[in-house]
Amino acid sequence: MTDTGDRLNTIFASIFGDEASSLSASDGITTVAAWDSASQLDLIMAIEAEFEVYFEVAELSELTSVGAIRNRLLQLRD
Amino acid sequence: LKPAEYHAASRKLQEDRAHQESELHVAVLSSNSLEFLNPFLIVEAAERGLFISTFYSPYGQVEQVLLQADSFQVRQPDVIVVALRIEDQVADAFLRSRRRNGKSLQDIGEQCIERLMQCIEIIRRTSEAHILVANFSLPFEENNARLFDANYPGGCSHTIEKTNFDLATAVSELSGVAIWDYAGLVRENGSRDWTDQRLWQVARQGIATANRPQTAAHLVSTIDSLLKPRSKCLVLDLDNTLWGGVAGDDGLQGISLGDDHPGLAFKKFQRAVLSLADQGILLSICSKNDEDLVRRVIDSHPDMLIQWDDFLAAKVNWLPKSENLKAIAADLNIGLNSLVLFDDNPVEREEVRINAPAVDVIEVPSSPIDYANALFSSGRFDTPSLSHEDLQRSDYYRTETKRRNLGSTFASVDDFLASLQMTAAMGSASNETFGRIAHLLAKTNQYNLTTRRHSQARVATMTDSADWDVRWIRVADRYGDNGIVGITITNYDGTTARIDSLLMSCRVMNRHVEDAMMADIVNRARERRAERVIGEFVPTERNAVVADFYLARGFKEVQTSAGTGHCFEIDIVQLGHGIDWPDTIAIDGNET
Repeated sequence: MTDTGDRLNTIFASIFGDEASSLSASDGITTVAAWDSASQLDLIMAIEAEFEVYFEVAELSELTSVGAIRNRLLQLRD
Repeated sequence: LKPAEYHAASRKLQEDRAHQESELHVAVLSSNSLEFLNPFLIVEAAERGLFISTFYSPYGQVEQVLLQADSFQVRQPDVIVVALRIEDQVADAFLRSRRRNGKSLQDIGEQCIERLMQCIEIIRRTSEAHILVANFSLPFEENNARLFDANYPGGCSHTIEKTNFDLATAVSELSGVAIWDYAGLVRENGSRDWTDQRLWQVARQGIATANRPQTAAHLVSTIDSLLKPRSKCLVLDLDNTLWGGVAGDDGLQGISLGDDHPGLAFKKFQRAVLSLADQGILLSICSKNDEDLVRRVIDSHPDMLIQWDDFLAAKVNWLPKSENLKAIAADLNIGLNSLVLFDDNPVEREEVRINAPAVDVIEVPSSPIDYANALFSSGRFDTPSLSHEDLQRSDYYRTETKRRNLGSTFASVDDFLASLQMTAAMGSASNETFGRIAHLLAKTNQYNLTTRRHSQARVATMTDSADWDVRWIRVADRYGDNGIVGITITNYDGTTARIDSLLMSCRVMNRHVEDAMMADIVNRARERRAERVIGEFVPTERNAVVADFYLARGFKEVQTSAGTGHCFEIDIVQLGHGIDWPDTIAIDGNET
């Protein structure tokens, strides 16, 4: 999971800026300033491309915290 | 760059250039918000050396934004992109194109064109910006007749093509307006995955993330081609560029050029080169070789499509290519920055980049199969419209070389000029000539008194105003028609006629064409009861040749606070007569 964590951090930093390069599991749309409903979609699309996964339309607006994203990625890769 | 990386790159660019001023203001007005393209546009523009600031209309509010005077005009965009989608106008325009009642797809397409024309009209009330209008694409999901849609002349795919044709026709009649080929962009990248239905349904984003880099690159390239003067001359290497192998080693029989592999790639590349020549691009050779040998190859190889005479200049020798390129520019009397080099040898390309950095050097791919694509996708020869002058350009330059050869056999310059049998016609700017006038204003550097780069739209506005007089001169001689080669723009204020712009193509320098233009200005000023004519000289790095233009024509330098350069004045009441039209040029026709 460290590898996944690093890759996720790189994506957070690209989409939200350098201050988002080491987020904790509880961080998300309510704690990161640049994380809003528009950048949420950019984030999910970047994760899809990086991890070669596909999220259902309902998930696009549900995966709004670092923890939720990590858990879902784990599930998808099992 | 991956799509996600554009966000970081764009943030960095914006931080780095917080203090820089020279920005291009781009406004994007669309029936669907395109704001999500912003980081992609900023990064792709910077790739091309353009630093842009952007403005987006809220989704669907094109006219509202245009009509809100203070919010929009204050920004004074340099480029305005208007992108309407047919499916935004009427949601089921494509899906229910066969319904019995209501508007057909064609009607809705026509409505969209009308709406675009209205937008352009509103923009032109206050702005002379370049305008790009997107054409229309058929959404993959909405083509419900898939396999047989193309069977119906009235089907979606034919109707959309017809609509795009009509849009192009309407736009071709307007100054300073061009098409952004959105339909071509979607076609090139594939319409099937163009839209991510999830992003569309959730956020009304019509372009999938993976397609955003290409979309931004396409739009920015289109803008870049509008703003940058088109390159004039393609300079080609020979060995392993126009044919495979080395003529000096492999001989006429040994080089690869023909209808089978491996010669086919080179033959195909030659066709691509000729297609540019057809559009007015001048061709030249720059090759480290023996001239007799390569002439033999070019003249006698049966599959050689480009002929020796197609090259306006040929530098076949062992000098550094940078020097040869400078010599080609001098021979053709064009700027070094009008040259594009295509050379397979990376060492030569590097030498030119270092020693002649103004030359555009195309990065040539390793396989000749990809040459033609590299040539076209360089974008250096793209132009929104081709004028009569563009198409004739090779002939002009060829006859100019003949003229210069003739010049050396005459006793006096006037003997030579008389032998040219020059005729000139002058006229006022009109729809047919706006394009050429704007082109000369944008590209003339040397014989240009003020170097004011008025846009095509600005020229149109001036032409409509009684205070301005925009004039062109067309010159022909025994060798052919030179086309429109000079422009004068005069502003009238009471009894003062001020020459805002006076410029001429260097092709006709030293032939008294400038005196004909001066005679025209003064005579028209007299007709309008002006009392004095004021000329300006604004020095630049390139126009020293015209520093004494007015002094040599009886003007006196005057001190003035107005204007940016030196001012010269002639009192035409005191003069008592007009300025004589030069003897060596006959007046052609009665266009005035």
